[in-house]
Amino acid sequence: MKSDSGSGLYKWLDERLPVREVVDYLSKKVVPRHKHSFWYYLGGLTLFFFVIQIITGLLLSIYYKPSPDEAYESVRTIVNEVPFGWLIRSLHSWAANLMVGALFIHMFSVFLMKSYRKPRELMWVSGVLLLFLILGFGFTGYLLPWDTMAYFATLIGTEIPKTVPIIGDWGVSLLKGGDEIGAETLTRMYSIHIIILPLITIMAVSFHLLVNQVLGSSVPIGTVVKQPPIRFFPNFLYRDVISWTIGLIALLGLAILLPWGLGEKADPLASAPVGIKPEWYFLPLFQSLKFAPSNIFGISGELLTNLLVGVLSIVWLSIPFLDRKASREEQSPLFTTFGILLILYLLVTITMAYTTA
Amino acid sequence: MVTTLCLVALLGTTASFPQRDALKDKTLVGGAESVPILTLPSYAERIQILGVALVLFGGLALLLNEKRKRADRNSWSI
Repeated sequence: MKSDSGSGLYKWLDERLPVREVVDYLSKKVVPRHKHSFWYYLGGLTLFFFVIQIITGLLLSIYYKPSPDEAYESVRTIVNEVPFGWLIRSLHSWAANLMVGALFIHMFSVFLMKSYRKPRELMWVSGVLLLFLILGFGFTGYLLPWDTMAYFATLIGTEIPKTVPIIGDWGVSLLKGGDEIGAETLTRMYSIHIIILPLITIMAVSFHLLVNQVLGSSVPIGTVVKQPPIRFFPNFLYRDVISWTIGLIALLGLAILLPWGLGEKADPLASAPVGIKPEWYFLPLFQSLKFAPSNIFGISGELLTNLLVGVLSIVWLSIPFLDRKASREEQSPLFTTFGILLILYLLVTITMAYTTA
Repeated sequence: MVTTLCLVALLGTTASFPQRDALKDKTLVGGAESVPILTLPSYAERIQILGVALVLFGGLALLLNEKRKRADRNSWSI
């Protein structure tokens, strides 16, 4: 039945498209209420920061020039001359960090609540793929300002996968567009950062949200639900939007009080600065490579670390299919311990990388 | 409508802040003494911008909270 009420635009659309059916379907979604419900907001917050990234990224792309001769100067122009350019760039950089932080918290909360269990396996898989995509954004975006730190961090970062047999050299060469980090690399990183990754990410996010809409939010195993669920629209959505507003205030505070800096322009002929480090979310890999001895039974320590990270990534992606107990609605302390140890390892390696010279 | 008003107010208010003219001596990061790499609004000016943002978005959060309470009274749960 078509709507007789509502605004003019709603009526106009409803006469042409199945708007009422869609609204009815969306309004049927409910969100469970229990002592762990707070963690449900982290997914929406991650999405909010991603939207901020798209908006600020679009604004930055109006002035940014992806060539070694102009990239650095264009970033300086954005900050020094474009009205509120400093704020837009600072928001973009800080939102990237907050997005990765929110994503990690969201992912580990999902892991510890075992929300990946049947029938939500595909939500977990798409979520882990989104993690890799977001880390790809971080890696490809880091080079774009073309300052010393960006240049040498990318130089070191692209050396690491080279040790992987068969595909390592080929992959790095494809990413760099040659043997050196130069104009080709910058163009490729830029196109991956602003076209390829956003397209894939938007598709993955859409799928993730669609599955969430269809299956709803999961209740942790063993959690007693004493209260009835609340409607997603409008009750939970209001809470979501309030959390986004708080996230926006925090982001503005960081971007305004601690504006993102810029180093000296990159000089490919200079030597790498001492104590160079990647962004904090790559520090666990960076520190693990430092832990590894140069040779283990005649095999390169770097290669072994890369293989270990590869295996861990596959295991992480396959968690819902490995944790059979959770699928049977039983507690699985082994997986909980694995998750806690992983969190501790990430925290310890990040702290060590920051505190050691 | 409230969000739109808040955004318009934010843009209108912050657009009136002084930006570049008197900022030649405000260097953020490194660079040669005569040519700063980045120039930014002063700390005081940035605090003003943050203050406006806090009032607007803090107000928006409070307003949304009131709307949430009203929605909860009407249809708290299924």
